[in-house]
Amino acid sequence: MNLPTELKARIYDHIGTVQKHLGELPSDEQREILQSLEAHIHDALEARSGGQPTLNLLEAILAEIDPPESYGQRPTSSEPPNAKAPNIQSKKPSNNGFFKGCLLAVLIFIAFIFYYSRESSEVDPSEIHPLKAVEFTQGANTLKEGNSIVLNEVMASSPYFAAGDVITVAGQYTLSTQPNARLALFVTATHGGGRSSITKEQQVQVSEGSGSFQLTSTIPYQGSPHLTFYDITTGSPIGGIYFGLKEQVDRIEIHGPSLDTYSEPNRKEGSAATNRTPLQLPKSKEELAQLVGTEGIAESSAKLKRDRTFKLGHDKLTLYPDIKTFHADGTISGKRGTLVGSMHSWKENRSGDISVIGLGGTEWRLFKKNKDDAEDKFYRSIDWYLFEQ
Amino acid sequence: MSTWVTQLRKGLMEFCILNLLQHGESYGYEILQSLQQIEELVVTDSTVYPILSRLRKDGYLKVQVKPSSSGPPRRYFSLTALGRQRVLEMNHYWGNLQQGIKKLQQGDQS
Repeated sequence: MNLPTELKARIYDHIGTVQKHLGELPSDEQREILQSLEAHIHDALEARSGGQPTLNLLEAILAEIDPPESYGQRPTSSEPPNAKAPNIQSKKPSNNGFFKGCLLAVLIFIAFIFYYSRESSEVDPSEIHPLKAVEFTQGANTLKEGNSIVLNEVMASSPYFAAGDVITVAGQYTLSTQPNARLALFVTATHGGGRSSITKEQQVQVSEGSGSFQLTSTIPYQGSPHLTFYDITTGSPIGGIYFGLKEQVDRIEIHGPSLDTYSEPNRKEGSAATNRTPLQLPKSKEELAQLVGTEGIAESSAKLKRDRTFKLGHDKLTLYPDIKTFHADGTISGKRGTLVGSMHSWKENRSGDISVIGLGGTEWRLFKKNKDDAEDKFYRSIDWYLFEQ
Repeated sequence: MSTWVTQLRKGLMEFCILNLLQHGESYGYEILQSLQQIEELVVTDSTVYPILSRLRKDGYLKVQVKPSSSGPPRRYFSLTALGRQRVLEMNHYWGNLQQGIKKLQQGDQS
């Protein structure tokens, strides 16, 4: 039974929470319990869904099984150490006091070593689900001409690219557009917030030329992983590739470019990369409406359920969205536009003689640091789809 | 009363699992479904899965991982030779215990 990503992620969230309550158990026992529980949830879904699993059904099943904290209460052994064991085994010769004393001393010593050798009761997720090579779909490619990232292998703790999964990617890069860059493995959130801490294992500084890389990260939230070059001085992205499950990379295409990948302050208009992988974008306004699930998309107020948070140090924000133009002959071309936003209005500041008649809006939440403005402000319209008139 | 019942259930869980697996291999969800037929046991996942893991670790059960149509591979548990010996001994003890208790209940202490 092939589950939608949303359900897989929910299952992994639950298992991840259970894992936190298994801290006292050895990692092999933790792994066994979690694997059994994961299979249990899938079996229950299959038994009750009739082949059509839904999030509501999954939530009902998760509500029926024990809460994660129950796993923290170790079951009482059928033979408690202080209780007299039932005489169900053949009698053994009794030990004398000396041997008992030695045995006790050895046990205390082992317990002492075990206790002090433990650095933490938390277990690395990669121990619970050992990394295995997983299949992936490559999505949008925003690399500049002359640069390349070839992804040879993706190892992950699950095949779902879900929150909490550990992923290790290996491949080759070529950087030719600047002397150096930072190559990083990040995730663009497709649901909820998109902030996380960065580790040294998920980024590497590379120099002009070609080389190989191996990067590791824990997926911090639901989204689509990407490997992206960043300018070392400005920190701005200079292109990358998305990968993951097809549903994940498709979501990125539908939502359009994100700030993670497309915010390029010094980029000139009209210089959109020409070596991009063609996106599976809609060829008409109606197709677009079907894809984003919104009827009558005609202006920037159309929005998708997406929520990103940015803290701004000033009132104005300039965005450089990637604009896809749909031509009458069915072809699609890319173009950079500039949107200058203030806390209360948007102004389009773009060149060209085409009109915006359809777009998939994304809701962005901006925090103003002005003390007089206590409310969060919401702005929309990052993903632009233009149709030739 | 409730404490006594809780302790009894916990003590019986391992006994029931081993007896269940006497009749052939089974996987987690199926084991849980079978045990849940004994309402008095009040079997739940957070009790059964750690016990299965411990019994495997103690050498009474062995595990075979098999693909499943529902999702991730299932872990099929079955008795080892040690497990079969264990369940024999447990059943013998259980039989003696039942007889003794029955005599007590009937007032027959001869």
